[in-house]
Amino acid sequence: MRKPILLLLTLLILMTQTGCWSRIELNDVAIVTASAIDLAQDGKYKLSVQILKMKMTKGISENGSSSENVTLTLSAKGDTIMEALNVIQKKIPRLIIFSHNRVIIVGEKLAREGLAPAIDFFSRHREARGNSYLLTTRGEAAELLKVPANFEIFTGEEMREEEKARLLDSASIRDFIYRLFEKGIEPTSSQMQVIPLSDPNGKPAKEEEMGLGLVGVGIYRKDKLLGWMNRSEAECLLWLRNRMKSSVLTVAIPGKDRQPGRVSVQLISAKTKYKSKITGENIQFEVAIKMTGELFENSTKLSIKEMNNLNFLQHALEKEIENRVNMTVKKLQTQYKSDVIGFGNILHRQHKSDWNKKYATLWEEEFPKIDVKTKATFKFIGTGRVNESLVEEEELEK
Amino acid sequence: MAPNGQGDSTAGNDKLSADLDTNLKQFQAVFDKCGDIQYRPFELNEALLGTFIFLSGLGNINAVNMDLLRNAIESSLIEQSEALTEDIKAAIHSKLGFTSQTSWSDDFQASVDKILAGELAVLLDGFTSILLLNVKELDTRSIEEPATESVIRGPRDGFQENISTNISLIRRRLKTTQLKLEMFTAGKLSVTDIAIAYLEGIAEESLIAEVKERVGRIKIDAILESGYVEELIEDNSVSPFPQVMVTERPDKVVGNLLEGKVAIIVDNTPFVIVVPGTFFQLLQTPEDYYQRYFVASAIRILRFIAVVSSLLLPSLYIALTTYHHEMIPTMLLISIASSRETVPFPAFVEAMLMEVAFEGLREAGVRLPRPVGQGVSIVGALVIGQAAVAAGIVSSPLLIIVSMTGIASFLFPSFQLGLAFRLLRFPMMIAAATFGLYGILMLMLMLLLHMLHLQSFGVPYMSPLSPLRAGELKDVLYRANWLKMSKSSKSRG
Amino acid sequence: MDTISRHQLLAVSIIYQIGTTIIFGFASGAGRDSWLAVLISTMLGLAIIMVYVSVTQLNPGLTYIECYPKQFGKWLGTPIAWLHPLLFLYIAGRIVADINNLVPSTILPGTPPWSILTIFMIVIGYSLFLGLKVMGRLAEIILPLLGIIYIAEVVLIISSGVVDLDNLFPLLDKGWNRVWKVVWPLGVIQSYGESLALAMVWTSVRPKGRVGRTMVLSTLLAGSFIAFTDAMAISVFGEEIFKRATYPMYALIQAINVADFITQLDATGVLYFCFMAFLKTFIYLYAAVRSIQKLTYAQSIRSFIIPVCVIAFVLGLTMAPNVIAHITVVEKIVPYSPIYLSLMIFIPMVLMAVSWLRRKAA
Repeated sequence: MRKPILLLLTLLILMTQTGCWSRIELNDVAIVTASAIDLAQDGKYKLSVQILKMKMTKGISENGSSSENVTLTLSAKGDTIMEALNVIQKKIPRLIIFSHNRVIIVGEKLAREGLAPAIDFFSRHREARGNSYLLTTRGEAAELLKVPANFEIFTGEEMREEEKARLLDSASIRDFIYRLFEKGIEPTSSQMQVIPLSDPNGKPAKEEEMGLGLVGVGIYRKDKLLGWMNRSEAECLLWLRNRMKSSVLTVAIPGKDRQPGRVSVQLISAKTKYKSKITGENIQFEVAIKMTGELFENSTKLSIKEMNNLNFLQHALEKEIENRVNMTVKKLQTQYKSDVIGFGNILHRQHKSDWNKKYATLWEEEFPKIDVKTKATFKFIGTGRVNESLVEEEELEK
Repeated sequence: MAPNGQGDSTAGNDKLSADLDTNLKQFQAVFDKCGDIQYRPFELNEALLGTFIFLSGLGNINAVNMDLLRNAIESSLIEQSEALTEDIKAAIHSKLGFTSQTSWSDDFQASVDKILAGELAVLLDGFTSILLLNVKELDTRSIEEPATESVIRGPRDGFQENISTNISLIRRRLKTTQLKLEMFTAGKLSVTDIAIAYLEGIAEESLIAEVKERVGRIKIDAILESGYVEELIEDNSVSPFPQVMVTERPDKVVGNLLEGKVAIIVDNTPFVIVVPGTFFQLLQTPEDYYQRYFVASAIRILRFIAVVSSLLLPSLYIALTTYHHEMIPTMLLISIASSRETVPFPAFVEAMLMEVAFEGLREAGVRLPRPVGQGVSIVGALVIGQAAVAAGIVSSPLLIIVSMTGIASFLFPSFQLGLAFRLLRFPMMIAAATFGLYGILMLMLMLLLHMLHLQSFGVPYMSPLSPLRAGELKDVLYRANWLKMSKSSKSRG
Repeated sequence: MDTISRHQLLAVSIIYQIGTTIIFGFASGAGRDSWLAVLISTMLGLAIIMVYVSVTQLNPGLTYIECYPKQFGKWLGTPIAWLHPLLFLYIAGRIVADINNLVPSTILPGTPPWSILTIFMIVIGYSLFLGLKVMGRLAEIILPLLGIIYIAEVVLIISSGVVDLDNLFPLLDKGWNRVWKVVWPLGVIQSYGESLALAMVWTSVRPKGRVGRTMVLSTLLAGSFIAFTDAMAISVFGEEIFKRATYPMYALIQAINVADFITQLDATGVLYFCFMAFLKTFIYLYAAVRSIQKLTYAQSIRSFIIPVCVIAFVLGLTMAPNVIAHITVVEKIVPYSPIYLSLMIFIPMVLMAVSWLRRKAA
């Protein structure tokens, strides 16, 4: 009966004797919230990390509106990411931990050279999480880390929140690697830029007016960046990949008196189905997109009380969707020749023997040749709080 | 009251003589320097001499009573003046038996024991035996609500120090001949009465025999509290876990008797032992059965959560903040880290410090007189805690953890089990500080293995969860409706 | 007598058979068809387990080890029987090596492995002293708990929105070939062939009988569990990452992210693994000490416990320099070694045939 106690004692003594090897107190860590990788002039990697300054965060939580920057951006160059990290580590007295890294930003130059060597660290390292978002930016990635945060405590969180909203096609490290390895689908990543908050055209007057914004997506083939797609094309990619959360679609309706009105629709859901057909050398895809949305703005004279008018609007929207999808696909096929939507993947699933025999290795050449037919259906599920268009009422008064 | 023969008595002469003086001398020799023994010589009509011997303060003996008693004996003697002593005995018995329990003893040592137990001895000249009257009525406090186990809904009577009162509290709830109470005494010097209560036909014979055997085996000088008995009869006395249930509540005892358990009632303490004690039984309160069963089930689940958190909360805090930062959500990590920024200690030392301080406060609250005790805990908890955080000696998240642990440990219905968990929290914290979650897991495994190995009077400690008796789980994990539970109680008789 | 109930046996064998696959994945070589490979392995494994069961049933009252001397005679049977405790010890050492590789590299970097293993072996030793009965009870309590946690994790993974069932298709993309490759012999031996050690436990089941049914149930449950987990991992990662990851299941737990609050649960995954490894090591060492006790006609198993623990500790510490060497041996060399194949598959079949024939003759 004495045995359990004795064992327990030895266990405890052993535990206290051996000390605490891997113990790291919270006072001794530097939490990385965002990191940026660029390719330096000399071909080395330049790693920049955004680290929280703990002392400051206390101030933030207490008075809420400290204007001081709570983060510190450090950068260093190295032949590998690990080496650069080691240099950074020597600059600060605390241990850098990556487990809370929100986003990884990659500069355009590096992205065009190929990402794989750089992100290997993030998929292999014990602390790095696959949930971190991968962003690409035109220009220096490190610049993004220096923008002060407007809403959150630090910019890393802001970037992540923007990514999470999925207004544009976002990709986590895991998604990116998945699409990198998987045959018949190519990776994308969001493009984030420093943009002025107030005026999209003019130059900002002061520094505070700058903010971070998602402006499009980067298109890759394998791990190399090919180019960018703008906002509306990127939205279109979201529909095609069944990943849309919410989006706005606007269509111009030509009126009788040549004054085009516009209809804006909040898209609620978008479901895309693919059907592939192989006829001889030709590969045909039928893309069927089903969308629902709610009418929120109507500047045409059409009264949506009328079933006919509603159908007319739906039809116009369907046309618009088809147009945009076709344009996007065309651009991918002709300009980038990169299958980021995953047509190859679908073909693999639907015609696996043909895929394995013929297309698996040649898909890069085959993709620009495929024939994509789009069929969109749009349904209103709500028309807002008013039936009649306000514009039309004015017209009636005349 | 059947006294056990106290074999090692020093008196040489066990028999009584017919001579009053000889007898009296013998008693006076035994009760030498016992200031609380009182002698009252008296003379009856026919020049028959006699003496009362009794303990002052133990019985309700006063002048009137004694006079009445003398008269009663006298009148019996008159009626039977010619008869032999045997008849006189019978006559007295019939007269006095009306008011009190009487017996005749011709054994000296037995009489001494009885006098010490509070009986009134009547020595009569010419008689070789002594008349013993049980007039015992100890001064005790009245029946009050138990201090350690209060309920919102439920009976408010609690056991007190007198064993017969306690037995009556049980009997009042079980008016059946099936309720058996077997009396023992234990303790060489204290000669404490112990009653073993069970329901015949419900409690298993083997269990009853085992309890009797273990209680009979007790060898100790004195039993001042049932804790002595508990430690002497439990299976594994080096385990931190209590293996018997201790309660002040008669309804709890009766409830357990109905489940086939055996109660051990010890004189001079309000705490009654119920065996066998299992882990889950220690987590139940009688109120679970008085409240609506949905509510009671929810409270039981809450209690399980409290059990786990009172054991693991501080150690999880240590493990997560010093080893597994990644598991803490970022925003939470930032707020913990920033409040820890000025703390000069490692998380382990910080947590240890606060836990020890908390335990100290709690102990102080118990020991101090009640009005002061409350003041101490308020001062301790609020003022010291606040000041420590403000001074940057401890971090506020840790203070929250410690208070939550404290609250969780108050949820234990059994104080003893709560103590065990309070104690085990500390090795757990050491394990967390050295090996993080891995250390916690290993120590937990060790604890679980120990708990699964424990037995209380042949019943596995963790039953009915393991070994699994699925049918009984409805009264363990939650509290089923009485309609559903009656099935099993019917089968028990 | 150190006995366990049928229910406890079920719990023990389910945990035992799921075992370390919870972190290493099972049959990941088959890519997106691995769940199919698991199901096939389960069926074949079931047959093997039924062979073991029928051997013990044909020799009532004897532990599996004792059947060899009885059926094959003293001179042939005893050496074969002696191979078993050695095999059990070796596999136990393998599992300890798993701990040795995984724990320091994931949740406790910097902590010397020997200290981690010492703690592990102390708990194992303590449980061996307490015996099978207590372990049965432990499994009985932990299994529902693990089940609840597992279901919670599945729900969490699904609600994290990372599951994409399309990844499971096309089925049998590369044909049956690569499925067969992982099924035989690795798939059959892993988990199912290793249930040989459980055969030492079967004689302790009280009330007696229906061991076969319990084992069938546990094998099917464990098999479908592994298959389901594999399928889930594939649908989260896609085939390529699943094949590439060192610890696919570990990565799966990492993928959990609910409301940005419950994230990075990988440490809990390692804890799972430690518990599974704990029970598996216990069963192997228990089987080893029971076999040694039976073969040396010793009274009690107690005197063998400490030496056996020490051997497993040393084996685990020295067996593999790193995880890749370790996994390579476990997946590429061990299953093809003649000792494994013969002790787990061929000799039991012969033993069953001999026992059956002798029984017929008698």
